[in-house]
Amino acid sequence: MVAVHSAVGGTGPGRRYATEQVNNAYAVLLSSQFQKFCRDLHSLAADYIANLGPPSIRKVVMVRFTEGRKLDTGNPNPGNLGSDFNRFGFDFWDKVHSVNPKNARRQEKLKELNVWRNAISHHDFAAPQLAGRNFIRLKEVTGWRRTCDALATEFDNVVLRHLMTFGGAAPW
Amino acid sequence: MAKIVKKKASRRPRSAIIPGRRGKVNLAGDSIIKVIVVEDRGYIGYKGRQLVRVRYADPDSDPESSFEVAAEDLVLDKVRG
Repeated sequence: MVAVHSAVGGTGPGRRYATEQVNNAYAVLLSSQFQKFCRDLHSLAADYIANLGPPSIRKVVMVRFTEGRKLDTGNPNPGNLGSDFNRFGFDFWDKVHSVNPKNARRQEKLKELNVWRNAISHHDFAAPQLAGRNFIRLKEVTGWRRTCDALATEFDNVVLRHLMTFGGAAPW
Repeated sequence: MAKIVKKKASRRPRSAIIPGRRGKVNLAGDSIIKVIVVEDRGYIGYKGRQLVRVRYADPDSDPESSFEVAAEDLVLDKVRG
């Protein structure tokens, strides 16, 4: 997407109106890919815990963890992530904040990405967080991408550490 | 002379997990629930198990509510025709 942005608008100074659509598509794509990552991590953790118990209750546990999961239908915003991962018996965001102080700021950036994602998808830029703006710059989207990359690593570590407390073999 | 018409082969195998297919999951004991496939999640489960997202086939249940099961626990109904 960065290459497409350069191809459409060039690399010189000045605002490029033609690249607005590229930036919008980039933000929506980024949010959807992060959602997929979080959903896969959640499924993997649910399947791991379900397999720790006896086979007779494995399927029931799996249903309990995944039924009505917010990430199946909603954005990967901090609220939905907390709601889904808290099912594993810990305060997800408390743990994420405790492993790295930068994660509080990253949580805010993730919230910002999803507000923009909704605004772009529904073409409704009335949200007060957008402060009247109706376009985003490439720099903002690449910043969100760095945030998602960092959070993906942190989420992976936090969930892995939590799963290890159940006493089984390391899941990955 | 009668024209021999060959039946066109199905593009997908009958065992394919595709959205909309119906099946059954035996949760525990005699508790068998009828489900509809929503999404094949692929081999992402613990030790690379294939997971499938399904929803209740019961028309009174919430169509938005789905859950995941291992593909090995899902028994798909036979395709008619």
